[in-house]
Amino acid sequence: MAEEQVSQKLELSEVMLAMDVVDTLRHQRSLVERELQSEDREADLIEKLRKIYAEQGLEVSDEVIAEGVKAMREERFAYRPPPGEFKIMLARMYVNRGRWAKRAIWLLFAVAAVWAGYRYL
Amino acid sequence: MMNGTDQLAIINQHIEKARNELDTIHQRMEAENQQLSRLRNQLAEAYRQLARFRLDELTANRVTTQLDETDRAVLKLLERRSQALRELDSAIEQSVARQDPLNAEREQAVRRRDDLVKQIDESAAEVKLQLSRREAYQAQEKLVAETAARAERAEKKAAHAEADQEEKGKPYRDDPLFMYLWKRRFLTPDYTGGWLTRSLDGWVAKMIKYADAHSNYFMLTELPVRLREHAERQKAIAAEGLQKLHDMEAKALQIDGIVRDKAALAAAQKSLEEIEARIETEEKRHEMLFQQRSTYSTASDEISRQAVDLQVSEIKSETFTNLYMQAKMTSKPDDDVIVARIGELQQEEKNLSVEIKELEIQESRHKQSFLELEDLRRRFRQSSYDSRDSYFPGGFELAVLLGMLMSGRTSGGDVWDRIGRQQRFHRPRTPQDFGGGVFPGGFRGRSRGGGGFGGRMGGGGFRTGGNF
Repeated sequence: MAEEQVSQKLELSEVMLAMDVVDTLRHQRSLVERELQSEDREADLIEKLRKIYAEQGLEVSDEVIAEGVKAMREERFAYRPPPGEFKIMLARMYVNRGRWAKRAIWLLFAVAAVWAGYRYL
Repeated sequence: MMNGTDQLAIINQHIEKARNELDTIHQRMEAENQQLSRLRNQLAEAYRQLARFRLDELTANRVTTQLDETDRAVLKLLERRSQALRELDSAIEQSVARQDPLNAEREQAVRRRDDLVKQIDESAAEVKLQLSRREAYQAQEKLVAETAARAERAEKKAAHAEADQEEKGKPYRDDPLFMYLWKRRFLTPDYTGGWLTRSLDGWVAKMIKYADAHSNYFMLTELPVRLREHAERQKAIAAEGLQKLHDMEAKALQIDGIVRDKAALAAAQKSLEEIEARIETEEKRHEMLFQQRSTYSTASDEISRQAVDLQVSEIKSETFTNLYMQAKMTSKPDDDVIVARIGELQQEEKNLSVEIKELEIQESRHKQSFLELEDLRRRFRQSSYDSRDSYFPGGFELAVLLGMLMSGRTSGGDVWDRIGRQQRFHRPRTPQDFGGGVFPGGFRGRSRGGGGFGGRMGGGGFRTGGNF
């Protein structure tokens, strides 16, 4: 169990580092543009990134760096909310149910009051 | 380029000048106040004569007796005031006289401290040179440089990640569907909900690929925290390496000559602080006496006020005002001369009062700049800016700034800021933190306004900060 936790933490750290690789690449756009022109130069880029991390006291394996580079290409860590389709609209109505449900109850109450007034007074 | 000792001499000259100017103003005010008192006496005498002409013998005698009594009381008060003023002037002279040897003593202590600093610096630089030839030291020095650079980069990275977090998390925070699930702690053990809610939440989660987004957002918030922890670890490693280096240096510095000089320097600095405290006490006393002197010169002291009140209440009493008005309205050749004389004296009194008021304004301005100059000098000394190793670049004209301060065109705070921006200390040959601190109490000892040396690299001057 403890081993599993350690491994999970380590795994998480690796993913985090891959995420950080994406950040580093984002900050060093000129380096990326120069090195990522072709697959052949990816090895150079990995080497440079490894050096950058070593200078910061972080040991990052080539695999993690490669994973980060790949993640950047696939824009894996970027979040894009789904486009506004009909079901998204429904989902939004659902998540906002607390807000509109109260208004609907008040409206129903008002209509009922008007109807009762008209019917009995 | 001028050194700090010369600049202190310039400040001293300006303080002396300001003191002399204030003395001159005080003397003028003293003379004018005496003149005013004489005028009031003459006015009283004129009223006496008028009373003799205008009133019957009995009333005239009563009025003149009253005037005589007032004169005598005023005279007594003025004698008392003169005595107090003489004592005050003597106390001021004594205070100034006491400051001179104290300043000389301080100058000597500063010289002694500077000599010892130089001596220690020379010896420590020699030790450093010998140490630098040893392989173990070289390796440790290299390690310290590397770990320090690493810690600095790790710190920068952590700061970047913290700054980035806001920007990168925005798309998540802007999406109400994601935030709804995040706040409900969906996909965590804390999540609660009925069958229908769970189903619908699951439907929303699937739609926005919440599982991935949740993990990414969690990491996004966690990343800066972990990087900060990493930066702190790197700092600790760097500090440990530096401590080891300092230990090696401290061990090498355990030479009889240096140990003796360091003890002597600590003692010299302590003695300097004691002298400084004595000077401060004496300067405060002098300031207090000077303030008192100022109240005497402006005739705002208790005795002067009593004397003036007595004189003024008498000559401006209703009896004399009425008498004067009657005499003015009814033309009698006998008293016309006296009436004219009273008119002249009243006009002179008015003119003189206006002049005294103007002098009071001048005195207040001069006193303010004098006090600001004294404060400036105190700060200058306390920051060790008067050290032999303190210097000011060419083009820095302290005399001009002090002239502006004295003429009220700038404030003491502004001048101090300019001094703080321009002042530099010559770098010692040995880095200040060599061996964990070669110079006891810092390179220039007491440095309330800044001072001391940082870093391990030599070359150039070093500027210090300062607050007023």
